[in-house]
Amino acid sequence: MEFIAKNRLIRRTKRTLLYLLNTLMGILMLFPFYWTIINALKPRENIITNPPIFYPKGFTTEHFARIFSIPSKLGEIHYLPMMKNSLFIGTAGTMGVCIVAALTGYALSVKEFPGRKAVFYLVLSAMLIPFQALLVPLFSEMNLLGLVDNHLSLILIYITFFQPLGMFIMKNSFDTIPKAMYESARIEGCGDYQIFQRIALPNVKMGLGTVAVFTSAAVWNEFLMALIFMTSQSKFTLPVGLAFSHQPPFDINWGLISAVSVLTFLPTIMLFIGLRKYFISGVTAGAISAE
Amino acid sequence: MYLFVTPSVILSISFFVIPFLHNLIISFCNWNIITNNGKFLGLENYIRIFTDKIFLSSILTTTQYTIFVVPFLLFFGLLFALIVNDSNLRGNSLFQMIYFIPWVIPWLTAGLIWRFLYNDLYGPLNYLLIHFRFIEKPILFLSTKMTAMASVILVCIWKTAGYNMVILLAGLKSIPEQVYEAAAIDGASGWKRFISITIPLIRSSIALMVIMAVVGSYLAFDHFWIVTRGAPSHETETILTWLYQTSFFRFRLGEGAAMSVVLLAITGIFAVIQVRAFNLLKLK
Amino acid sequence: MKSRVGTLLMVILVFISASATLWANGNSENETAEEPIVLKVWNRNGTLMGGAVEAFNAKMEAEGRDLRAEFTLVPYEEQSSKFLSSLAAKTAPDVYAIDLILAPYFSEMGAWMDITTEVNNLGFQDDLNPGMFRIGEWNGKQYCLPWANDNSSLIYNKTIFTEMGLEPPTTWEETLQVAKIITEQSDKYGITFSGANSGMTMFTWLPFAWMNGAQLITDNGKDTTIDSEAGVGALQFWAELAQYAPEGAPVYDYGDYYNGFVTGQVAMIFGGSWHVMSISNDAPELDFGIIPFPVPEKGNDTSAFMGGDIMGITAQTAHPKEAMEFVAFCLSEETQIEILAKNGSVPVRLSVAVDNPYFDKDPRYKVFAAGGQFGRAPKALNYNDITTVMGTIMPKALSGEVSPEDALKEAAPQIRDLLQ
Repeated sequence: MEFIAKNRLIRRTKRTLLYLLNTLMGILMLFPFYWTIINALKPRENIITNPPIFYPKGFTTEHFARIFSIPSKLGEIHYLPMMKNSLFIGTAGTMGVCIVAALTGYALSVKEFPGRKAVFYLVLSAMLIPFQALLVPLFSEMNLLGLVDNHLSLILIYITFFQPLGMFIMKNSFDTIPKAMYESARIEGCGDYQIFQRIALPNVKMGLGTVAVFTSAAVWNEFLMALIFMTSQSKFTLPVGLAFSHQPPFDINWGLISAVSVLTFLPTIMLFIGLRKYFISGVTAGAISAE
Repeated sequence: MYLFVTPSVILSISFFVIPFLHNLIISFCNWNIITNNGKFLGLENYIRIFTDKIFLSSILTTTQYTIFVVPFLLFFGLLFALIVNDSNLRGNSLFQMIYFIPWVIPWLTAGLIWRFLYNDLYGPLNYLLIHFRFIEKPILFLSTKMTAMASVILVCIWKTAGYNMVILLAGLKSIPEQVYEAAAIDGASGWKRFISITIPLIRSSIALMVIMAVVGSYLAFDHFWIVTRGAPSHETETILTWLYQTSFFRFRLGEGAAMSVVLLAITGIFAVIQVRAFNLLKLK
Repeated sequence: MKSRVGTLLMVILVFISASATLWANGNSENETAEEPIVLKVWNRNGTLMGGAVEAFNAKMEAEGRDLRAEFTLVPYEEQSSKFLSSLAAKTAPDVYAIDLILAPYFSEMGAWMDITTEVNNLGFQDDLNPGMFRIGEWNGKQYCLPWANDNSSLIYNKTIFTEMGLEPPTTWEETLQVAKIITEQSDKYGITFSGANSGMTMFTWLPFAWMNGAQLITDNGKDTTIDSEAGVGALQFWAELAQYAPEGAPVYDYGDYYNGFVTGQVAMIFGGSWHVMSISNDAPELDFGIIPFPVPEKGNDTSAFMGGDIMGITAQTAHPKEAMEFVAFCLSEETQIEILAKNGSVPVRLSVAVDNPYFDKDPRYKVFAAGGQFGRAPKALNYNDITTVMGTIMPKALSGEVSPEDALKEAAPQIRDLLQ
């Protein structure tokens, strides 16, 4: 009797400690967000103070209003089009990666064709070098293709550099589908693409969800390429707008910076929460397992 | 079937291989960007970068950073994954989201926020630490190379632990319950179960996470650019931050290109070594 | 069958979105036969250059002409990377006003159009800020003209000074005393720096070296006297001053340094003309004054760093005449007063730089504007490299890790190398 009681006590203590630990770490994780959000809601004078003010004292929506307003003067940053651009590029880039990664991942998983390893490593190697290092050649190339100041250039680059991870995840997702399923479909006379569409794809929803979330965050947040490749203000994306608002030697309005920052992370978080069914607990059994 | 991989291959070749080759050519020349050609200089750019004190120290810094940050990322990723994997824990899916969310925001935003938090005069961190009597004077988080690196590592952990957690979690989820039950019947304690069963079964997830973390750390740019900007005295420059400055602030495109070639060589070698090493540890 | 249709639909969808993207993006580039000429103008400051573009367009509209300007904002830190990339891709703007320290590199590269003759025809060449004018010249030809002037000077918190019963300092010795008293006898700091931002550091420290007699780049452009006794003395002054700054100052970035002053925790900063407006916006209750940089000893002349933007017409432009007209418009007295002075930037036309209605209303600007008369601006092809060298040794000197003499002795040979 005593033994069981003690055991239960130990377990309960462990459980409580775990909750405490979780809560503490959760707070640490979320504190920077909280800090930014309250700063976005404070008037300027209350943001940079000593001691710091931990609640939105003097609650104001002026910074958010500024973002959603149409600037009166030329040269002022107009955030709404930037959001539209970010949304468009984010969606297109993510969809592009999902499609390409699924196609390639499937092919690599299912077929033993010559050059398979070569393709795998070729695509994967794009992860080894960041595109900042290739800025100038990429820009010249885009110019040759006539794509400067065109969103398509960004989308293509994002797909190229974000597809390796996507392909890897998708390939492993497809690897978990038992070969038997393919066999039976083939016996019924299905072609490659039909097998892909009808049998393989439905079974890797989780993998796709993962790729979608990872990619959309990366694309939405990318700033340097978007800045350099887009030459007219109407094509800028949101992170670019953020860069403008914090650089010296001009008016560093922390309220505005915080508000724009909130806008940069809110949509991705919402997407993440929306897609969590595909993503949480059960990022599929085989989604990530190396070759 | 080739049709399936065609888009990927075309993209990779067009936007990765070709620009890289272009960079390779630039690295051997004294490149004038307007006329789009340059004098052939042979290995001069390479010699110059290898006698550049700051470049050499950036290689050291990046290596040190990688060595320090990856174990922490593994530790926290694993810790979070284990905690969150316990389905008996209430709210574990909520925590899963909370741990992952920092990864989702742009580096620029994260850097700005943390820079603000770290400040010694008006930053909340120092204020709270002093308020709760943990320290007496504000800590200068960014004033020496060591503290600055530690600060950046902290930001990196905050931001990517959740991401690593997700990768490791996938591996954890693939272990069937029966394995644990069998071990429990055999009388194995929690810790022993962890070491002999869990770890080996998720080693491929660990491998993936580590490889990505190592490569990612070597390519660290945003973390350092925003939080320290290479300070103090260029001691926290990473290869990529120095590369960027060399190309665009010091206008030495040839040298910048040479650095990118060196960088790719390093990450390529690392990737190959790691894959080989992990292959050796696996049965497949 | 269903799958085939599905596939077809998907392919069509992708095709349509790709073309839609191309079309939507490309549309802005299409020109019909009767379209006006549009000049592309880039700059890092939307209020100033954006305002100028607006005024220019209004004028063109009023005159019924088919010439317009289009403004694009460029972030401060990406001024060169964006310009370089655009030059490579032949998509450079028609007019670019760039931070003056960056201009010589682009002059040497052949990015600008030679406007020596056009400038002579302007008629008010002598009225332009000579220091900035000099930077726009390269190898005997004139490529860039001054646009907006930013000078450095000392900004101080009047409230703190009054509370402590102190007078704003005029000499180095006085500055040290004042800083010492404030830091030691109150909970505020006397001064702060932005050691990590080498641009700001140079902007605020070089004048002290200059007024003491040292030069970062000698007049012939080939040597440096920064490691002379005069230079060491100037750095020594700052190193001593740094004792009274927050401990983190040697690695502060611009935000840390600026926020320290704006929150009223630091009594003095060495700042620039743009601070007047930003401090007034960020901390409306902060009562601050501007004085020229303190001098080594009573009777010495003060100095200032003359920064700002200079504008050039890119060699790639298809509309040189119109671009020049825009430039001339920017340099007209009216533009300089109504756009620059009104928004807190110092005009580059000497005749209105100090005396204009807006500066008469807020005389603090006049101190900054005066800097345009006696200030200096360094001109070098490798200015960023030199700044990198100085940016490496200065934080060490300020934190006391290295003595000022050793620091400069370490930097000087590297600088000499760069200037060859």
